Amino acid sequence: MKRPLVLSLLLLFALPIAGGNFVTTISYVPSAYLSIPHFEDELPFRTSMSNTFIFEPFGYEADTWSVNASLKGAFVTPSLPWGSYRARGFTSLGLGARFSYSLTDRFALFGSGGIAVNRYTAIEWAFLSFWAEAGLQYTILETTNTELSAILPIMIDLRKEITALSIGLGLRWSFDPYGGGLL
Amino acid sequence: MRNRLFCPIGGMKPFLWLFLSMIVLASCELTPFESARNIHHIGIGISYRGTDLLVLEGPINDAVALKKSFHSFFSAEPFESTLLLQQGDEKGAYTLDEEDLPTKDLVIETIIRTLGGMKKNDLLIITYSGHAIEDGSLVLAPDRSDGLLLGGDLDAALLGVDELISLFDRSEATILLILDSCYAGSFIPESGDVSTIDSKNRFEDLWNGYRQIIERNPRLFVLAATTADNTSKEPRFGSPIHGYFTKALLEALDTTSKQVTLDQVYHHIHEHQGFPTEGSNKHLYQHPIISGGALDLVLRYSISPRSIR
Repeated sequence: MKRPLVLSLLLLFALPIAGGNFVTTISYVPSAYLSIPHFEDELPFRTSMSNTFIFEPFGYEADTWSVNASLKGAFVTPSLPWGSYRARGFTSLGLGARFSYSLTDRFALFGSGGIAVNRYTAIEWAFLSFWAEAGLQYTILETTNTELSAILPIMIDLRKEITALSIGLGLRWSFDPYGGGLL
Repeated sequence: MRNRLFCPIGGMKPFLWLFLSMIVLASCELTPFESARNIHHIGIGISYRGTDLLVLEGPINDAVALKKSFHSFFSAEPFESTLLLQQGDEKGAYTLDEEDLPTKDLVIETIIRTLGGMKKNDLLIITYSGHAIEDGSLVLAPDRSDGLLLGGDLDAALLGVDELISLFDRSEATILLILDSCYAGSFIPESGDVSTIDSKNRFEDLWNGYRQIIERNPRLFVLAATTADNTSKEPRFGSPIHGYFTKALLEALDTTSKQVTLDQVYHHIHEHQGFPTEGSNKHLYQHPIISGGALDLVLRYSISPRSIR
């Protein structure tokens, strides 16, 4: 299990060595986080809010596609109390990879996936999860060195006792730290 | 330098509608929950007075104070409590004549009887203050007039972890097990989560926890005074004497807050327990622990603006 992590880290640090067309990206996505339990519960799902911050230090950008290695941090609130229970809130730190494909000048499709270590906010327990995400990206503002986009990701979070569906609307800011300009 | 500004609303309208629809769908919890639950408490306290085990001063005080405290905490809901106490007679001798003496048979019978009358929304709280042995088994009152445990039949007075947990599988009610005893963490059910109290082999444990197939009762919540490898302590002096864990629990329950969950109670105990929660010598600390899993237990929730108490 350590091998994917090591490979992800190697990819993360090896990309800038390869030369040009590299971008750094920061994203913020507030989203609704719906926890669908694998066990019998009073509700079909419980609703939390998630604040996700994604840092992609190194990304490679070609004419119509781009690939990024990402570090993802998320803060998921406890769900609204209903009945006898509520879903526990947690913080999450993950590693992943992202791929996007431009449909037009403005629109692009993207997908990402990865692994995360999560820790409940109020108690001393941790758990592992895997996520997969797909969505639409819309470029709002574009200059030579920066690009601001709106993103609409739909994410599935695969936890042991929960499969969570998350849908949000966020902002993504890409910039070129090496001065070569964005494509 | 290019500078293009697009109107983001036009092209994204369908997706905004999808997003708004999801939010509306997600509002199930906004419909009021018609609480019709009954709350039952079974309080077990054993002093071991008259037996050949070390006498504990805290358990009787713990059980009685918890009954009073829960009664006040759940004042807005139907609440019943049953106390099973072993105090010894007025001369400090062991006697089988004590009413509701918490022998193994009576404890099991009381739990089964109580669960039998409970419905899905109901909550059963079982509190135990007393001795336990290294595998976590609770040392209940001996069913023999001489009161001997070590010198008698200790095994007959032990209520094991699996034995107690299996009683709860028969019911659909929610169960909260609160244990102020040595090695109480043995009752924490496996959930696939990994405790961060012990930091050894963290990632490997997380991966194993994720892969492992575990069948557990999601309606069982456990709050334990200490981890499975440590003892629970009570002070020598005090008026009245309570176990360190139970004293902090009683403080946590003494709240007027409209919304109280088990995680919040645990957090209060962890922060306010009058005894170190970490250390190198196990005699000098005890770390409370709560069961893992995706859900937190809502103990009190009111959408009413007025205070419950």
